[in-house]
Amino acid sequence: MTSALDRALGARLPAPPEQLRRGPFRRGAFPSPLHSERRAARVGVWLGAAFAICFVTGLISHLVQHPPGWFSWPASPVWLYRFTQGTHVAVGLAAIPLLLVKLWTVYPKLFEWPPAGSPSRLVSRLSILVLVGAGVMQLLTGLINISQWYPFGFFFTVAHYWTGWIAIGAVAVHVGAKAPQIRRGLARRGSPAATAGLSAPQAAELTAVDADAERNPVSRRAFVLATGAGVGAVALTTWGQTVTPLSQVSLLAPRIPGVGPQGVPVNQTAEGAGVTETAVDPAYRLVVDGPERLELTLADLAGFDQYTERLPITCVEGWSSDGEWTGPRLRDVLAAAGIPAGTAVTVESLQTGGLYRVSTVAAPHAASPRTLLALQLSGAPLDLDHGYPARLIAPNRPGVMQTKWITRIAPGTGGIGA
Amino acid sequence: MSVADEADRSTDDRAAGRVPDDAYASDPRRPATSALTPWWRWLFLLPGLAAGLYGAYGLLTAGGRVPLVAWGTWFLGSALLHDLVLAPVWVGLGWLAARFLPRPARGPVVVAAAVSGVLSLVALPFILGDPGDPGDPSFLPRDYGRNLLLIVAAVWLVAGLWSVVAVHRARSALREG
Repeated sequence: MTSALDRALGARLPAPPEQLRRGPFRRGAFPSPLHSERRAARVGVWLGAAFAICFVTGLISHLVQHPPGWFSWPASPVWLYRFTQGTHVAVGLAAIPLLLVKLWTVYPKLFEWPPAGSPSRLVSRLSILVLVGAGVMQLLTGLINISQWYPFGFFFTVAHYWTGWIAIGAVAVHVGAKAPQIRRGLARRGSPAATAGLSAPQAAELTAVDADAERNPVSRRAFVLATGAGVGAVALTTWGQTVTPLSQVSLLAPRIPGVGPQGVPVNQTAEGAGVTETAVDPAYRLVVDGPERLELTLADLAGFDQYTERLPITCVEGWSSDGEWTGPRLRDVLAAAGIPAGTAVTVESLQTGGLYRVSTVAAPHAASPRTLLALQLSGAPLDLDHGYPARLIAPNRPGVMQTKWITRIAPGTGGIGA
Repeated sequence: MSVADEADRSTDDRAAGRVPDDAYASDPRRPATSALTPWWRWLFLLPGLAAGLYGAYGLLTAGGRVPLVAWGTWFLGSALLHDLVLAPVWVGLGWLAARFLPRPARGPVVVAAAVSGVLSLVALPFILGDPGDPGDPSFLPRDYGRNLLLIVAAVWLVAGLWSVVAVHRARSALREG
């Protein structure tokens, strides 16, 4: 690191002609003292926390569905995945207003003149493009995905996962790069740390800007209220798809717990899965491919000891809804086929295609007494859309792995969760 | 020093003076070698770079599941959607508000505009997007367009009342003062 490098990075680049400097590019186009380090840093803390939460919960969901050898996801507590995935989507939705407000605080930099005054500014702005591109893309495509609209041209889950790494990396790099500003912005107003690293005139300007923010026509209080009200409004109107007490308030939630066939929402219908004929065919059998091969009719399944469990369907899209499921325990059926307790098994659906036709039931879930081959929901035979004649329902597991219209069980791993 | 001033720094004379005897240097903080930066930045910079590179590697090796042109379109498009659409619209609305609204009304109007704007953005895919499987009554069970209109109307009603009260108070304070 030499001052020669400093000179190269800091050298002046030619500016575009001054006549082009119009609209938001004009000098003084952003007079509000709320465009400050302090506001940017403080909204940034909330937004950074939101991205960190979304990253961790998203990583959990990814690991549950694509577990590497070292990873094991437990069967209890029952509510854990419901909590992590509900949080993932809820926090992601709440991050939309936070991101917009955060970007607003730095509008003067978006419209700075000249657009890149030096090589160092050019590099800096390109790195910000990565941050903004990844951040906005994650929230935008996530929102579009929970509206079950797939105009992307790529597999959402794969792109969302890898872009998530880029987004959290860009956030971390941004925090490191802006460390001096963040340190000043988070320090108490008027404390020495609030002007650390600034010359005396710069420090005086910064102090004056933060003082102005209190008296501005749109004051700091209005700014905080607008941000809080934006986040609160998104939370109230959408979180009810996960937080049941809010379900009647959440007028914009894409799902309502308790609304659907037999009072439970559905993601894939029998029609959509193409099983409307095979599922009601009297020739239906559930094949259990153990040492002792079983071919069970619906009546055979009803002949096992029946248990009722209250378990949630938890969609990766964030919504969840409790159901009262009744049927034989998976482990009893496995034992009848001579499959030793604690063996991981694959379950296959009658549906002929789709990414989630086959799923792996890992050892903790295969052994759990709460994992059922459900034949009934709320005391009535399963609706066709809920997986009639039989479906898997296991505690603490994403909905895409609660295989419906189940027709084959075999030891080993495969499909989603393998 | 606001962010706006900082953005103007390349033309700040105080900046050029910081690197003595170098008429071409414009960056006051000497981007490569400044000592004014906290040590903990490296705890963010290095893992952050590693995570970003890992993500890029993952995308590059995802093959047909993530065509890079489609991904790049959404990546750049997302940033440009903000920079070329949302930000200019908001700047334009702010210009109108500063020009036509009495000062005491600006706070309430900004709050109402922020709330109704962000709710509209969130609800838009539910209103305009793919209606989904028509055989699934549990998906998008509400009338989202109507609900959004009702909420936005309520928000502006409150903001309108608040503005009237704020303007009235400011005027009477002026008369009495």
